[in-house]
Amino acid sequence: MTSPASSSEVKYLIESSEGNTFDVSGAALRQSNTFNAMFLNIGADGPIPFTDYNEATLKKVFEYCEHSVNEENYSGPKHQDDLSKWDLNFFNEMDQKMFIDVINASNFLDIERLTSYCCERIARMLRGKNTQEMIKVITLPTAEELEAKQKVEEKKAAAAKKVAEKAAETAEKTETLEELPVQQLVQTTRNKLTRKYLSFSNE
Amino acid sequence: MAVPPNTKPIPILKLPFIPLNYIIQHFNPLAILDFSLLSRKCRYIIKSTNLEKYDMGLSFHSDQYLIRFQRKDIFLFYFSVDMLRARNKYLQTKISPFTNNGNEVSIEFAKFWVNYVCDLFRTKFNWLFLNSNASIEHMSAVAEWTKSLISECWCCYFAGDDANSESITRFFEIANFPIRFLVFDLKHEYEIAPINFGVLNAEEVRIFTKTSKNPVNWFTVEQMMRTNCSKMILGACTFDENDLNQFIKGWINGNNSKMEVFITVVKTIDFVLVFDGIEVDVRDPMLVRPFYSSMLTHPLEFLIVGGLDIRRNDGTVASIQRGLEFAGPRIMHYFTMVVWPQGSS
Repeated sequence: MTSPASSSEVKYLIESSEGNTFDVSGAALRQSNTFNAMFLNIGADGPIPFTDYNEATLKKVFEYCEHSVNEENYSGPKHQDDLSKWDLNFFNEMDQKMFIDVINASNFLDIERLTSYCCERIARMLRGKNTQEMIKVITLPTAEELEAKQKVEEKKAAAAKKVAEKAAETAEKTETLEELPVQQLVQTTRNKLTRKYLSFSNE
Repeated sequence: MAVPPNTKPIPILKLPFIPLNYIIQHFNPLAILDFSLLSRKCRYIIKSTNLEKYDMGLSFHSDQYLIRFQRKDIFLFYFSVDMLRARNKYLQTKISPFTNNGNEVSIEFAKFWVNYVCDLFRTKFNWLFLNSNASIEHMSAVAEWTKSLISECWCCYFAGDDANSESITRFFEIANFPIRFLVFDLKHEYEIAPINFGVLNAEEVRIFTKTSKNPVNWFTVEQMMRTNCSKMILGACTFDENDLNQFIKGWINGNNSKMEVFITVVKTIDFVLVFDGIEVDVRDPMLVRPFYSSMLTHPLEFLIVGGLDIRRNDGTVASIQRGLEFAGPRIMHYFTMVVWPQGSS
């Protein structure tokens, strides 16, 4: 499907977690070090599965790659104030969830430029927040939540203990029951014989 | 680019290590501190991140910027006493930020937070900003503590609206670490007693005086001759002809052997008395000699026009020239002495 020499003209099929496929140019894909290491030199037959990431995220990542095809090689973080209008629009369109998804995908694909810019953007969102606000935004449990969680865990542990004790009791009973069939058999046989004897004696 | 305030969740702790590191690297020091206070895990993450390196300063100045982040002499960021006090609760401490009389920052509070910040940023403090009017008890406590905290002080900066000579003297009696750059920016209204530095272990000394209104009387010639610093730039001083004569004779006989630059501002002096008993080579007034040096991180460049040359016993040559008039109200002039590197004159 591909050859290293013509990789920039060649389109690759990318498969998302939904099973959907879409085209990405070789030049755009070359910005991914992961892709370079995995496919570019050996070529790929059929769609390349990036099934840990959804279509929207992958399209966003490769939209950035397509746009920055002609940019200079990445040489360290660029200040957000120096970003182009296109870049600013690109990042402004993304919400928090998309940022996290894009960071995850671009980190896996090893697209340093995109990862770094997204991370700087996230850092800016968190700057100026005090510890309490950070706890909320980073979705870290508060002290009260931790306490409540601990209580729930304690309750669970207590319940589990009870279950374990009950299980132990049951196991003890089972142990006695294991002996029962023989006794039962004896008893049943005895009962049967008694009944038979009685029936005989009645006759 | 303004980023709108955000309250939606950003679960960065679920990110892989590399992006999380990138994010932390883009935090400013306060965000780093706040993030570290979230949990033990967060603190561990910060400590394992390759953070930007700063020159850390401990400050007891009146602005109460207890911890200062610098890059050489460029002031970048601070943790004020109030900022740290507000975060006491996250470290389950109730140490009061001020001493009982409420005027001075508590050493216990400073120690607690400096230890935390040092550990977090994996760095050492090498800048010291001291209040020139601190009490003897406070200055002694600071000296005792910093003696163990700082192995080599890059810059020690005394400043304040008033000055307590005894406190400063006490500091130099206790803290014996070498100082690269010693600065005095004292704005005392009245004369203060001379400060005893002992054998001053400083590489460069700078004393600021904005005008000649309150010339420095607390730095004596005896004190100056006991130091072995390479650069001394003093503002308006009360040195007279006799003091300068004594200093120059001392230099010729081997005192202040590392001296490269000595600049001060003195009242109108009689050069005949300054060079009494000293062999002087009067240079051609049209002769212009550039002299290059540096102070702290800044380059220093002088043009020695004509001037008077003196020679030390080992052959080293120094040039002295009277400079421009200093800012009033008294009529005072710069007095510059530069020592030429061996073989350059």
